[in-house]
Amino acid sequence: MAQKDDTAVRGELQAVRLRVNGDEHALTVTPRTTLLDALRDGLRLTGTKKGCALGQCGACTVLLDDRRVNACLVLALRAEGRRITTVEGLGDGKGGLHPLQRAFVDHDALQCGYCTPGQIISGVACIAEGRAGSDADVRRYMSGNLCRCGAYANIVRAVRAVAEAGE
Amino acid sequence: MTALGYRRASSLEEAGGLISAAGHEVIAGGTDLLQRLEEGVQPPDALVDIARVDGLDGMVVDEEQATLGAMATLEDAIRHPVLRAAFPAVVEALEVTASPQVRNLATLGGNPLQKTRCPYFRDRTVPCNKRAPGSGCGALEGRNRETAILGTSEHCIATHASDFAVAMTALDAEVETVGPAGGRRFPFGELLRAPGTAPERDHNLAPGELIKGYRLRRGPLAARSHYLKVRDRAEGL
Repeated sequence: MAQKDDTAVRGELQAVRLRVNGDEHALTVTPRTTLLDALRDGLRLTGTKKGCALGQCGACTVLLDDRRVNACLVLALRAEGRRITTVEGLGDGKGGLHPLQRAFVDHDALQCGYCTPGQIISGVACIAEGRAGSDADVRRYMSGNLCRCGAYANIVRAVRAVAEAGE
Repeated sequence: MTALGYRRASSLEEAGGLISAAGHEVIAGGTDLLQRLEEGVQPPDALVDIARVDGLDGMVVDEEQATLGAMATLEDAIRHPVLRAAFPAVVEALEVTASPQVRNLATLGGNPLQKTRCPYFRDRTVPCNKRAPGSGCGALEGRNRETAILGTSEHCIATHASDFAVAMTALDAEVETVGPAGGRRFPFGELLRAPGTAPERDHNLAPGELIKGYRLRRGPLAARSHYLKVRDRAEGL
């Protein structure tokens, strides 16, 4: 298939459309621009955090067509046409929290909060995947989300509480 | 530093032709490539994206064999309804790989082609015969707690990080490729290279040759196979 133009071939700026939390956005990116940088710098959606930029900490976890991924490992150009969900898109849009966000508050599942958006997005997916049926399962299937403050015990409680409520 | 180039291929054959240009590499899941770009580890100058090539992500399991497409993700394979029962070692190897987030992007074709995670390879400032032939092996007298104990040479003691590759080799899987000389099939055990005297060469694919998929024969040994990983990292504590 022919390139629309050869700017991407040369590594220059090119237009991309990203669908984030139900809204379409037109952006200008380079081939090297990650989805993480496009969300934070391009769209000012700073809920998603950059912890390592290497796909190891999970702070940048977003949903891509309902699948949890590290936004730092996705090039923005490749996310065109996919449904992207960030932490900003979890609530009801009127200030109401998603049940897992509410559970993180109720179970004190955060301290500094830096890993928290990634934990919550990952937890939403973990529950939807049917992998939050036990504490051991949650620990195993949330292993891609690190918490330097060590809030793991309450993160597990929060995810389990929402999983149980949904059963 | 030149800006990263990018183009999309509409077929594996086209992709194979495009990567004959110097500095061009195929991007599949991108999970190792983006780490290499971020850390400057043999970063490519341009990417050839095969994500929109049709027909590469299927997985079919019948009574005789499984056919796995190179662009199926690790998570796709883990959650396949039948693959686990037929080849538990393969699925168990995938389950101990990376994280769910990485597994939703990483592909069966790319996983065995990831570059070593030996810290001397990934650090441009230290000797590494795999990265810079002739510069020496920093790991030999350095930090080598996690380097290889089998299949090494005096030139290189790097491990290969792919659990999937171990299980596929053990179960005598076949690799199917597409290349400039046409397609071929060969045993999975012939895909990856021990360091020997040329540690800079990780695999036996010809220039422009790309993995299209794999075949696994069903049988009682495969059905009773398992994969046990012993490591420092526990699965979340």
